Amino acid sequence: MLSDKAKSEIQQLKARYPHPNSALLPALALAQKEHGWLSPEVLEEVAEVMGLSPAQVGSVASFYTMFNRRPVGKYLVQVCTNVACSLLGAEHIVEHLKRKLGINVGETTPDGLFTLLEVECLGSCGTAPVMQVNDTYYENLTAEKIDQILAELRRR
Amino acid sequence: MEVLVNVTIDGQQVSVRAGTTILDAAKQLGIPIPTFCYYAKLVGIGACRMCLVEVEKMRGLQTACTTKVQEGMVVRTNTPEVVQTRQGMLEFLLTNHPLDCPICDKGGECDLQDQVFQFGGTVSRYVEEKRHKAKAKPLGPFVMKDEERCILCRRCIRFLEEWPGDPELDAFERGRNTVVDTFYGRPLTSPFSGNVIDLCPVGALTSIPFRFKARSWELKRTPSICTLCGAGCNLTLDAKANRLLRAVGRENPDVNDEWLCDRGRFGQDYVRSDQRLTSPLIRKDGQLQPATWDEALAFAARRIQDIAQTANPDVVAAVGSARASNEANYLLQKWARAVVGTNNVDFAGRPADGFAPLSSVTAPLRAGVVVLLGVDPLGDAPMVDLWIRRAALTKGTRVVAIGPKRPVVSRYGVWLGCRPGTESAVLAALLHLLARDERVQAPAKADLAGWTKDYAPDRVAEATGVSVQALKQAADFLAAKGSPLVLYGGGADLSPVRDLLALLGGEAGYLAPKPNAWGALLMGVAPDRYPGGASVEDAKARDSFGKQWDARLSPRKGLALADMLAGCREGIVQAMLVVESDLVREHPAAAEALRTLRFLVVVDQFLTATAELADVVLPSAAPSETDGTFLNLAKRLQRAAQATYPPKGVRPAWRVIADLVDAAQGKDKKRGAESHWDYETAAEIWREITRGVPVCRECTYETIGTAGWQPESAAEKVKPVPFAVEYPVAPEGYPLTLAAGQALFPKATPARYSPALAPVLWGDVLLVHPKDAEGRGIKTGDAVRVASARGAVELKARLTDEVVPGCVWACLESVAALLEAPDKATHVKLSRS
Repeated sequence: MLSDKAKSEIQQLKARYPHPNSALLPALALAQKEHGWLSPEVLEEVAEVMGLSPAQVGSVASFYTMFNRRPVGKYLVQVCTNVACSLLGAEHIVEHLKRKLGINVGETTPDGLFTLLEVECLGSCGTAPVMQVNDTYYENLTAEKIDQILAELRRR
Repeated sequence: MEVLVNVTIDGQQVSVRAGTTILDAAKQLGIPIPTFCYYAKLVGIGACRMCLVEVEKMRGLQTACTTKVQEGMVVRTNTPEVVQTRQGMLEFLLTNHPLDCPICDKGGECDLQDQVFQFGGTVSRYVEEKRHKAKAKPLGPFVMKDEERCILCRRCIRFLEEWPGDPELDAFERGRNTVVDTFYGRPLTSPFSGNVIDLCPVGALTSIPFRFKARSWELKRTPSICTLCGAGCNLTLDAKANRLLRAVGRENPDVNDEWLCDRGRFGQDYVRSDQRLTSPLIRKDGQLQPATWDEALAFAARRIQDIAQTANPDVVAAVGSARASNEANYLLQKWARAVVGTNNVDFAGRPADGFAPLSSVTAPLRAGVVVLLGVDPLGDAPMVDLWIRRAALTKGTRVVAIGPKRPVVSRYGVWLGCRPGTESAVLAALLHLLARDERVQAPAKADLAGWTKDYAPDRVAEATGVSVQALKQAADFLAAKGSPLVLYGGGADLSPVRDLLALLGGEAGYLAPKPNAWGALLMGVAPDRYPGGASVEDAKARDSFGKQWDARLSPRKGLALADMLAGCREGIVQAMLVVESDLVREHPAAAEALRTLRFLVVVDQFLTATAELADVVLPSAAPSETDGTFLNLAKRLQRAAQATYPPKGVRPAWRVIADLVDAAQGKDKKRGAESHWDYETAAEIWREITRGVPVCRECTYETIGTAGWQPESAAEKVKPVPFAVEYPVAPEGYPLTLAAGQALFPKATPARYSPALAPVLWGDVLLVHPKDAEGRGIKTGDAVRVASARGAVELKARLTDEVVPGCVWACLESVAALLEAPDKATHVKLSRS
């Protein structure tokens, strides 16, 4: 269930744009922040607050890859596999993560801690290879660094 | 003033209004530009790139469907680059489009096939594996989706958004994975969902009931009209080997534009129901048993003759129908008046004195506010509902819905939920507010301020259950927007309606739920009127019709339907002929009354609840199996044309009546020179009708044509009238009020016999407000007993806040027997059974 706070924030967002429908992307971002992913129920609630149909909201949510339409782990690990990162071994990074986490790309570990995704350019080519875990960037990655990062995250 | 701009297209010059698209400008010059996603009645989006053209001084090719013309613009539609680009676009579409045309229902009427044939290349260069997506995925009971065939033109998405305002479809995912879908694959629920089938340019959305039934080129296509409500939407009936297989929308901007509701589109297959009567039935030893036509006609004619002769002609009564054609209704009253000699002629749902037709089915487009006075157009006339939605979406029209059940379109305004039977009081409260609103300027204001002083919002709110805030909002819509369109139903009190028009202008009309209520009335199916409306007491009219029909006509007014039924028990009426009217499911007194008759003949397509009581049942053809004319709720005269032959052993109702006369008079007399009953076709009857009915004088089947004919009607000047509202008082022991109406998919004849509608038909359901259910321990799905002073029925409860507390709602055909009178709210009690 979307919190009342989120609902009222969405109402405020609607007033910010010339057309209230423009608030849909920030509204979805808000909902995802609150729930971690956009379930059908959450999408319907957003639709209701936005005055749109569930189909219209679902359509937008499914267009953008940064909206999760399945539950994700506590840590969403997104590895850049675009040109710069690939040239510097992103595929090895992905392989290493797969092995370490015991999951394939797109899957979540059974303990619900990690979800692994490949993504396009994270805009940090100067420090490739790069991955993003939730809102934090990890740069100049190596297999050892990843082991440290994972261990650190597991400890939290 | 209109600004014109000059453009040159393919070397030809044309001046068009500013804002015209290149596509429309080219059309004016007769230059064809191929299109896909473009659809004249939907907002253009330039998605498919099929209409690309070259425009001088613009970089790249431009989409003709969205690019507006500019002064001096030079456009070329046929350069090698354009032609090659079109071919390229088509090749792109085909890389992913499956070539399953041989098993695709759209084959033969597919835009993609046609375009590729006309503009495409001849050889495919694509050798790779095609993209695969879901095939045969049903979107509800009517629409089947094939995602591989979809070319993402978004016509279906735009239609649901822009016309019914039910945006249930949208594009999901992105890029090559994009699919058109509902939210998580839910079924489509829009009452107008079937239109996306006609709109789909490929076979991505096809009709489930029509699936794999025929190839498009095998169909015999008959332009006709729908007769499942009063709107009279224009459609094409498609048949193969004398089987009616589908209905598709047919363009008529004055009626249905080109759309159909799902009842009209999918409900026509009732004619193929295996419950159709195909042989006359005669009651023998208490059972209805098959008989030959000769037997049945002779028996019926003799019995009626005997009864009329032993008593007098006025013990015979004839009941026509708002479901039957003008031709059948005309012959029925002619039979009663000229053959039997009585004016006992009437039909259920006859528009009351003072009732007016709508100016047009599209009238909502010209209204500022649509006022629904106790009616829900979605049940009574779905196409009117669509026009209300369209008006709300494109013109900001507001809806003020007054009544115990919330109509869907009240989402475009306000619902004044009130207890059944108090609608006039709520309207009076609105008049009270408007007569005191400074925005309203009308001479009637002063009078109305006085007449409405007892209807202050808080007082009316207390007496009716309506909310004061909602009243104020409704009055605000009316004062701000003006020109209301008031739609009312059978039992409406017109005085406050007239007052509203006197204050604000606009129009009011009877939302006739049956296809031919105005026609049956015009044909003289009324106890006091001849065809055309002349009184039966008017000696001149009587002479004239007497001459025309070669008979001495009775100068006495006949019995109205309610009096006929009341008279059955007292022997005032002893024999009755009922044509295509299921009285028992519509009229409270019918079941009991008809049982007491000495002789009952019913003509209908099915063994209805009424026919089950008959002594003789004669099977009649459906409107799609014969010719006939109908007068819709705007009094537009339209032809229902014959698309198939009736099943073996079935005759058109008009022929059945003529045959009954034959059987009474003997064949020889009919063949004689003076016979007035020798009709070979419905058109011959129509010719006779036009001789007696002045408004139709100029009209022939040819002039009515496929578009219909709307006689000019002068707007009448409305005079304000004082009125008094009575609040219904619940008798001891009956705390709730029952309101009856019609559902979108009613279980009424003939929709109840449609195989395609079977899964969505409104069941024997009673809507109950949760507050009323609570104390009685009723939950959704429970069997409940609802009882009035007249009787009781068992229904399934559905808890909903669509009805006001204190009100229960059911479809008329489920509860007709409980009502005090048709269209009258009735006090009931409710319990779990």
